[in-house]
Amino acid sequence: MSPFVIFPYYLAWHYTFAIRDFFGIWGNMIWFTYQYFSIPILLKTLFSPFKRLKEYSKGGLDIGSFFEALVVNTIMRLVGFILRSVVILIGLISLSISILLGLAAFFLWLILPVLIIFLMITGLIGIFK
Amino acid sequence: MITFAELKNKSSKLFPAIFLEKFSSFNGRRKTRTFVLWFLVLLFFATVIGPTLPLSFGSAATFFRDYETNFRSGFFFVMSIWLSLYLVEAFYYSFYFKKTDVDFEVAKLAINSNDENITKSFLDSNIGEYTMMRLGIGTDQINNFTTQRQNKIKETEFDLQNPINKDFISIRDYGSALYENDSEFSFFLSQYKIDRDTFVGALEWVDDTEWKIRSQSKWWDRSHLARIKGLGKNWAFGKVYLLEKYGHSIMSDKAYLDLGERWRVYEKDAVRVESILVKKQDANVALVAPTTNIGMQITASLGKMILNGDVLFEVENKRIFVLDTISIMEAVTDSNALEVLIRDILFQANGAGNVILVIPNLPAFTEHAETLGVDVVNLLVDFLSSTRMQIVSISDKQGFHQVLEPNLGLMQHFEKVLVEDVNKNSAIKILQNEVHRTEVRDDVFFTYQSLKTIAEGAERYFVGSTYSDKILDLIEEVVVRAKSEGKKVIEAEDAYKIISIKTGVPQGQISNSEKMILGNLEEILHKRVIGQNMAIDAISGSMRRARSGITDPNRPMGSFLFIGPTGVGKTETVKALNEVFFKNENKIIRLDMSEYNGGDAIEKLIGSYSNKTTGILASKIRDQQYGVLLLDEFEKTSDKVKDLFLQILDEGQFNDSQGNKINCRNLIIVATSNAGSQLIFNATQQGKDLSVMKDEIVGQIIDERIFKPELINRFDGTVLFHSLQKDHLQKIAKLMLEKLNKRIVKNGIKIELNEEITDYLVSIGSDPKFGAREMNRKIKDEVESLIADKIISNEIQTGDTILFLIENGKLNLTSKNNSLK
Repeated sequence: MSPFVIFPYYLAWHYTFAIRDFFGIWGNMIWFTYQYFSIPILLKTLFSPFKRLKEYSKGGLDIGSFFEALVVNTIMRLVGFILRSVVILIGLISLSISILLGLAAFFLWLILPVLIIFLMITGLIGIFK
Repeated sequence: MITFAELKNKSSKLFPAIFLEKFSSFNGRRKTRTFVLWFLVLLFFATVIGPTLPLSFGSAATFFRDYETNFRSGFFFVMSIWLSLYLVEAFYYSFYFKKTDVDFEVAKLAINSNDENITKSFLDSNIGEYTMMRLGIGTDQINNFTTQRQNKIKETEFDLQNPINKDFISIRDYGSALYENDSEFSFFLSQYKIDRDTFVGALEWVDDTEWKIRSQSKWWDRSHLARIKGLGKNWAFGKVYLLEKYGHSIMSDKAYLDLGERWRVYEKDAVRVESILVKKQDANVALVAPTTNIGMQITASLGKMILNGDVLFEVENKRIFVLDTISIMEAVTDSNALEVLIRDILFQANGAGNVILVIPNLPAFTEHAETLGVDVVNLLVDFLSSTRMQIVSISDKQGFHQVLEPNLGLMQHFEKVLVEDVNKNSAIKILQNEVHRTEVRDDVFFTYQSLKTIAEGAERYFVGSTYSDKILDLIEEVVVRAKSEGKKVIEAEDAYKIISIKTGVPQGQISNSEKMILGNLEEILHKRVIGQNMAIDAISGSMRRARSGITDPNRPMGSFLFIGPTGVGKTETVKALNEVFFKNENKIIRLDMSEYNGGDAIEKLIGSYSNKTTGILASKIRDQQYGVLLLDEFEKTSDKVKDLFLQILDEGQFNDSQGNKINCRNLIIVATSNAGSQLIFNATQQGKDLSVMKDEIVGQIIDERIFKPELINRFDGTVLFHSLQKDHLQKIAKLMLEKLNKRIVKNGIKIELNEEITDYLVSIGSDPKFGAREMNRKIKDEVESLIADKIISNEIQTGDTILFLIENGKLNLTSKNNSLK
């Protein structure tokens, strides 16, 4: 059997099952970016203190201790908020990039067979010019 | 039933991937792609960087400038090749992992097979070739087989009778069909001691490996992507300073992780634990494992799964800490401090928000803390319904039943997960994974049979310890030994050798000297035991069966109940067997069972949990698991002990007081008893054949409730020992004197045996009821003393031969000088 028998099978696949597979993989990439930047958990704990670091006031009427705790806790929450926001922001940018790249890759996929033939022919012509 | 034509039809859905593999191997394509990629990179530099080289580089700079367009075109061309190769691979993967109703390798075999010779097509295929390698069969042998065979299996003669799963034809189905449809092939395999299970097992292993190689390169798969650790996952959770001091984090401790990594055996149990941990409330697990170590392996497995991201969403960001109960107990001196410390640790862990706290051996910790007057359970209860922390307690069965289970208040917050130790079948699967790493690291090759031997050997010979550890140790040791011998292929025999060395139990091929002994066992035993043919025959047969490996591996090697009057050779038979077969007097574990008839009999034998003592039976067998266990006067022991032996005879193992399994599968267990001896005595006196009387005698023993019928039935054989007749006694006397002769011949003195002396010994040393029991003592008291007196008084000298005479019913001797001088 000649190896070229496979061509019709290939073309049929390229524009049917392969497109389904492509969307599956694209979905995985978007899912990965979303998970990597921990977007859900960071959003949920956006205003929690960083690493749950917390100062407890000594109780009673010790005003000094009360304010000390208040200041420390506010700073911890602020640090947590800033760090999380930065990561979330980077995450969202990466997410958009992965969506856009996927879209570009999709169009590239559609023209890829033609593109390959084009590259091959122009390449061959150019080499022997 | 599925015919070959139907199978081909099903397989056609995978045609493109099979077609591609026919023209280029998976590895070959991978290598080509890498090569093309490098070439592409070179061309890229030649196109982009080459022309920018300063002219000071001379001819190189002009070269790149002159040929710039050619390089660029070359780059485009190679790029098109590289892209094509990638598309081909994507095409291949898409079909390879397509969900169909037939395994890819099966489809490949079906489509590529020569319809006239299915078996040869299999043997010529990659999977067939590799499977035969795993079975240790060389190409020459295979070629011999394929060229010399008579009948070739055609497509029409090949069908899959009973696929295990109707919706999916697995490689197991194909292998079984091949084995069953082609009797010549299965006969060929049987010459290498390969049965159906071994053949199919090896085939499955190869198939699994191929699948894994391809799965591993699927980096775009979610299970692979999930393993990459994300950013800021732990920013939302608190620090646990106290746990870092009084515990270990499984997730950052390599030793613990290795525990989970080494053995995926317990992954299923880890998943069960995980499914409880995601509950909304009371998500605490009471792990009941054979040993604490196994419990730890399960938590380590879970830790590994969390790190790999292979867990449910709720468990995703958890950290597992193991409480170090010992260092807690060491850190405090009084109850108050202990209580405060435990409460603080729990409070902080709870506050962190993502801690799974593992308490190893909770029963022991509770008991220990109780001695200081602290109720650990009470402290725990406050945190058990918390949604911010989960607790996993580990305990063995006994501890769980005695300490935790009765505490209903505690148990309502826990869900029990009962873990069994791995068995042989799951072990082989895991060994297959483990071995790949060893093969790459040590440059060795394991045959499937060697893995099977290790898995079976571990099950049979290392019951007492954690199965998984033993198997891995065995692998390591086999490799070390093979390498020291310069071997690269590890076969079953190599595994047998290691098991033999470790247990003292002979394994593998039977050596010639061993064959001699086994073949003539009756004769050899009769050199020491006079008469008692029935007993000797029974025990010899049993030894041969045990050594040839056809006995049930889950029972003792042999078990006998010897019944008969005293002094007829019951114990002597056991000793003779031991001498011949085990070659070591110390191999007899002898227990006088009349000492174990009180209420504490069981405790004395298997130990006591509350007193933390070990039992004599447990410790002796643990020290020496291969040999003879002799239970003298078995009828005199308590009913509970008899019940214990009911279990031992049945399962070949028992649990000691600490819940550890004790292996009795390499023991020959012989229980002796005088029960029914009056009947035996009478029958022998009347000259009756004991084998005819057996049912009657055993029946009476049961009627008298000496032994329960089920206990008697558990023994491989109940053997009756007849009482001794005069000619037996004479032979025994002769035998004993010969033994004496052997000893004194070393001093240059010889005994001349005659009938007079043997008759004399029979008359003073035996009794119709007590057999020959007294004879040994009489020889000592009378014969040996007499010789000793004469030596001291110089009446006998070196080189003399002693002649015994009986004068007036008393023993005397004369000596004559002979050539010994």
